[in-house]
Amino acid sequence: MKKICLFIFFAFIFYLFLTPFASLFKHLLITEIMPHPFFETFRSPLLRKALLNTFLLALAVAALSAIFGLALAFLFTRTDFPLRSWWRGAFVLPYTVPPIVGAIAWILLANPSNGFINSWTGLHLNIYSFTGLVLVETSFLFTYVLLILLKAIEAIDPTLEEAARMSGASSWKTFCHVTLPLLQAPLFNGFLLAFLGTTASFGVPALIGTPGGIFLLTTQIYTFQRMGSMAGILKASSLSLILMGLTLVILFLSEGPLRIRQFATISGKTPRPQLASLGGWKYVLVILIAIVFFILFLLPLGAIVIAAFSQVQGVLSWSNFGFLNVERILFHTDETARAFSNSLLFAGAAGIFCVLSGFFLAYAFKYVFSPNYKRPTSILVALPYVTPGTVLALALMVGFGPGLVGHWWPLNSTALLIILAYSIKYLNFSYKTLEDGVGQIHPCLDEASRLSGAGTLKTMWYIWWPLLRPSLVASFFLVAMPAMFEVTMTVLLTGPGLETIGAFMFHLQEYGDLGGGGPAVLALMVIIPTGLFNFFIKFISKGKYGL
Amino acid sequence: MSLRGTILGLFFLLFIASGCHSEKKNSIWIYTSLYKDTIADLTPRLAKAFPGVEINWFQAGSEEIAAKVNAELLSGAIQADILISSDRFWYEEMATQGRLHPYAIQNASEIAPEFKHPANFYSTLSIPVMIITYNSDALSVEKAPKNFKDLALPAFANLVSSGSPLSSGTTFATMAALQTRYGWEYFEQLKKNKIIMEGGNSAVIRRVQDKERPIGIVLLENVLRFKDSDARLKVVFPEDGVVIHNNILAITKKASDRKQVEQVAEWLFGQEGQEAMVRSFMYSPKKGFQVPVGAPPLEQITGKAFPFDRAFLESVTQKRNELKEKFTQIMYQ
Repeated sequence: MKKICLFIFFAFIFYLFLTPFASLFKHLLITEIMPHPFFETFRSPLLRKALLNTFLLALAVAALSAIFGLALAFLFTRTDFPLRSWWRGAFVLPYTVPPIVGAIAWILLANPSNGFINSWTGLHLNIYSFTGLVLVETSFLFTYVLLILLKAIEAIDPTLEEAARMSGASSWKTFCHVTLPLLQAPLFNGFLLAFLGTTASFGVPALIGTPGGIFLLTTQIYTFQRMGSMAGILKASSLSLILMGLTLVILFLSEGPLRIRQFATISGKTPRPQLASLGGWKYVLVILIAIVFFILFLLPLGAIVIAAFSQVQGVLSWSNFGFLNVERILFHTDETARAFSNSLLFAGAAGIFCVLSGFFLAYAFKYVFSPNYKRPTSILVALPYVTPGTVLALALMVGFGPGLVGHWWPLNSTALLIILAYSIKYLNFSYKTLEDGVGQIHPCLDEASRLSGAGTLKTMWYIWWPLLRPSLVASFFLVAMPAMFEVTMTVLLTGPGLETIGAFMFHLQEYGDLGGGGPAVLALMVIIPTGLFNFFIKFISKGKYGL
Repeated sequence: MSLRGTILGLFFLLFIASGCHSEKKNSIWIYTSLYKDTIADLTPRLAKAFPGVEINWFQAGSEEIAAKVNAELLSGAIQADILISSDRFWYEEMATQGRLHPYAIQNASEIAPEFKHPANFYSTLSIPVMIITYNSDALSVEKAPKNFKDLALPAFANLVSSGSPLSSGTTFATMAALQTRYGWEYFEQLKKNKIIMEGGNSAVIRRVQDKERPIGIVLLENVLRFKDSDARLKVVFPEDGVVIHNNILAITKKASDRKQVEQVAEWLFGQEGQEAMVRSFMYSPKKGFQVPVGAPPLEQITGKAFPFDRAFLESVTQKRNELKEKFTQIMYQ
């Protein structure tokens, strides 16, 4: 029975993931537009440049994110760094903020003409550059690596490290020879997520890359799509399919020749790890981390606050500050309340769907189905994540717009299509997290429970739930947070009454809010409650939950 | 047991989510690039004029609307009933492809033929005008540009911004007009001057206000909205001519009855609809309506306007993709 249920579930997931792309592909095949859009795509003179730029950017962002994420994860879990829990919560906060907010803030801070930093310090920073793009992308994407590593480190049995120390190894040697090898798989997963996340990102490249003349694959897709013609749409689809092909190769390598061995936790309950003493370095590191935090978080937040409370943008005087923008967005804009409730509903539904699906997938490959199917499934689940949002939305509209199955249950401009889009896009997050989580629970624990006479339900409750709870909660937030602020797909999929925070913010920034301030107010309305909620949850759960 | 329950739960979740939307009878969908406050102004008046009809708005940039409608067409189920946006070239293509419902709007009968499709596939609902604006905090009158051509001079390096022709329909039409007159060299020079061409007209105004780029190529209506709140924004009617745009209204071809949709279109071209356009600082294409507050009479600025005749329209419609690709190439090389 278990096998049949899981088989139906798998068929459903496959259907959800394959139908949109198959529909798009079918349209490409049957189009009568000549010359054929697929071949025309290769004639774009900037394609090679776009490929090279995208690869270099993704590599730089992923490498920096991996290094930074690893350093922070180690510092906040395995050392006596002061106020570790607080810092940890602070550094993962950018995960809860739409990257577009970061781009808006950094333009205010470091645009070469009159960025605040340039004006106040006389520096000549230029955010419209490759370095600027790497900085802004990394300041958000490192949180992917950090979150995955924090969960992975928590799951490591500290007795292994203790054994190394008792054998005379220093903290550094223990980290290099015991902790790091155990973290290889999650670190690589985080690296891959950051790499693929960069290749698919659009909001930050549009605001920072475009003025800097940095041409990326997503910019090319956007260009094609905004031709306004059917040929343009099909060219965008063609390029996306090419991008997906390249990604398939990367994913295939990562699941095959480059696959990193995963280690399992045999013990059920992990004892408290022994913390490495930082000695005299402690305070130097505190200052360093505080400076990084100030640059990555407080400075952009400050810029957003100034924009939100400036009645007229660009005038820095006390008399110009007021609550005009706040009043307009809170009390005179119908969409605000709707955007918040819709975002919570859509992101929550997608989060629940992804947690359940991710768990079923991870569980099934460990206990029910042959692990041979694991690789193709991993690749299938990762594909939508690396597909640019505009094209995924287009594929969903083509695939499910007329109906979920054929013409039954039309989904065009419905909440369900948006929830499906989020679920399909971000299932990769929850699956990877839960795959790591499930992978670290040794089958002998499950077997022991069954040998003691426990059924599936009891085993789930007494073995899986306590051990997997942090991963389940983390995977929910990993999906719900980016879904809450998703922009590119939502802009195409939304309809009347279906506004979301991210799409509404983008809309205000680009079209709807003359004079500005509105998007900044919305950003503050997102950052402040999310930050407070996160700290509150961490406080009452004594650090067990929250990001 | 728990597994089955969870799978059932999943389907239940999907079912519940689908309930978040239900299409009502007698509903009309308008996809538009009109401003939020214009929509807010129109909504109660339309509700009063058409009781029992639910008017749904989808607001986005012109090119976003084109992308959404094209995607809907690809899926075989177009939702929009009325389209109002400013990329007239797209409407030409839609008309050629037989996607629009031909209807001679009676309230638009007095509108000049150059503002309408010859086979009545669309008509101009309002007239936005592309001008130059600058922030007087950053530039004096003497140093401000006098025409579009000036913007390519080295003296205006790092000072100019505009929307993106890939996002905004009016910016695309402006680009096409400027390219026709000054050639691609003009854009190569703008690129050398580090012009920022990104987003819609709102983004341009913001860059002018915060002086990141104190000069902007923008619609007159965007500046007029700030007449009382930000006196720093000054208008320049370029000596080489303004670019007159067309905010187009078209009815889509659908299997459902178009009568009610036609009536809504009539209303928008009627007294109340046109007054709402003027309140939004756009010119009415009909005679007898006041000019927008703070704007000069249309005749005063159209004398030297860039030509927007049928020849220009057909030529740009034909090479639309080519123009956008070439523009992208120049801006990114």
